[in-house]
Amino acid sequence: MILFAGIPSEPPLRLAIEAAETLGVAHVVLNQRQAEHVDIAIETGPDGLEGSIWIGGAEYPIGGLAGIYARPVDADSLPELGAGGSAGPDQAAALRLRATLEILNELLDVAPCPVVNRPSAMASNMSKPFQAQMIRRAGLLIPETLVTNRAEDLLGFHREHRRIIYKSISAVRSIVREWTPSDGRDASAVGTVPTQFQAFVPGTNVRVHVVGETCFATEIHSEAVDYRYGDREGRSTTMQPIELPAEVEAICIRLTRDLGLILSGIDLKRTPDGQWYCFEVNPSPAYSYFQELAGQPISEAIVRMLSDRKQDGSRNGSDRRKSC
Amino acid sequence: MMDLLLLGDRRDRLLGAVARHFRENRPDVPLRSCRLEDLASARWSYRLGNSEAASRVILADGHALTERPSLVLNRLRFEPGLLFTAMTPVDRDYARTEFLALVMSWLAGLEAVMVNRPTALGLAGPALRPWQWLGAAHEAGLAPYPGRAGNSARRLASGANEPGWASRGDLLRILANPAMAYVGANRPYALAPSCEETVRIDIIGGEPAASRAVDTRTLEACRNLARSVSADILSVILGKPAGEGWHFLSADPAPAEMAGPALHRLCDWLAARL
Repeated sequence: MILFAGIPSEPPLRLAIEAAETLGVAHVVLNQRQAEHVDIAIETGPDGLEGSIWIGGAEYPIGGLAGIYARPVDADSLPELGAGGSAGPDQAAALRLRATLEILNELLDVAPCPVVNRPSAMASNMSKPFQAQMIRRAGLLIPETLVTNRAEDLLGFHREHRRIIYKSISAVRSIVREWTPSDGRDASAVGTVPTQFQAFVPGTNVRVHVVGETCFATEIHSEAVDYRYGDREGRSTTMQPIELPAEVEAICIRLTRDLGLILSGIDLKRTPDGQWYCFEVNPSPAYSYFQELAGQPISEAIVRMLSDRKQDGSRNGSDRRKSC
Repeated sequence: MMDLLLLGDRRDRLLGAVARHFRENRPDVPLRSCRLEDLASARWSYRLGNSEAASRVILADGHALTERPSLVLNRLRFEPGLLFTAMTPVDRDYARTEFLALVMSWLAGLEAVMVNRPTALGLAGPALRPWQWLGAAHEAGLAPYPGRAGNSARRLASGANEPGWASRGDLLRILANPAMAYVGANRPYALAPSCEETVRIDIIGGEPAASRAVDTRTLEACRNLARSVSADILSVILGKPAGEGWHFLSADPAPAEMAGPALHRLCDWLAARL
């Protein structure tokens, strides 16, 4: 049995639940918005750590789960804790929501079955340049990067690379934008807080979703600097599945595994001269956008991975811990 | 001769003890200190590319932080309340998050001999959550100290009042919120049996101190734990439930202080790396 945890209507989780239903894979859904009906317990035992989840009164021992796909949201993001929400003025309910999330995260990190993805494994994404060092060690190229709060360094970097972009250093979502000295944004503005700049890498965006040992590569064509926000700029985006070069595919699979992940969304760019640059490994990818636009069967792959079954019915390898 | 760079808060007792030890016993070793706030107010130029990582950090006093090769004892803790206090709340929160990401990357790639290099889980080494520690300890060969936690006491077979068991707040951090007292009977909980005896094992540079109180197998398991989480320094607390042997209670890669033989061992180990 697979456990799905998070907001079931959120597209990545919704698609995976639908895939489990279509494939006839036994599953149970932990709806974070109905935490009052969810109990979670964890304890030490003779063979390590043990735990159970109760959903609507039914108990599901963690040791009996085949796999978990979890996309929990921060408790403060839940509508229930907002003004007018069902837990609005009820501090006890709000605390219980937060406690449920805390203990769920603990459980996700120690559960013996494969977990997509363990919270501790997702932490590298907190710092893009921190993660970039791991990407470089894995064998992919990274953009030349400068983090600075010195205007003279920014101007020098621009002179060196001619086209540069800026983005957040952390996991805070930002729109990637190009910077030039002449576009009205004063270089001295970086003096407030160090900002990340990168040399613009020309070429074609390729998004790779890795599920265990399987890659789904999608080529993206967009006129926008950041294709994710092309619509805002009135720029269209099209996608198509492609095959990666074997070496690049192998690196993506190895990088995902080395980061402790089962599922990843890797942002690549193929330059006109055939080099491959990597910008980020997303540990909680919203793959639904690519599945729906490019027809990639990612949700099915997730369910097969977690249910330990390949398309031919044989077993997958799995990330199983020895204890819990 | 390398200098010793101490990264951490001025009130950090362990850093203070290390500094005093070196001043008294190794006055030949130049000492430098730097706090998180100093880094936040510095002028930064941090380059990362396919062939190199290079940084130039100019502190407010005009000195460059990484002028010379250094041995770095890193005990930085992310304390956002100290940083960017003059900004508006929205800008301040963003700046703090961005700054943490920068320091994490900078330290991880700094070309220096570093003790407690950051991991994805902590700025000064592996800062695991409590049940992660229990799981890691079990995999390393240590018996986890008995304990249980949950979001609802209604699932406890005997309620929240099992004889000999008491609240252990470090197993579920939200219990530290004073408002938890008003949650009611169906409250989150974290419980453990009372502990008759505890011992601390300091692992420095991968080696635990010899201990007459703890058997060789358990010391070896402590060493395995430090290695498994890539901790240069790890203080492991073991406890004995009634009538049983040593069990793993908790671990900390940045213990608040060390004294006596442990401090000397740490300083000797640091000196050997200069």
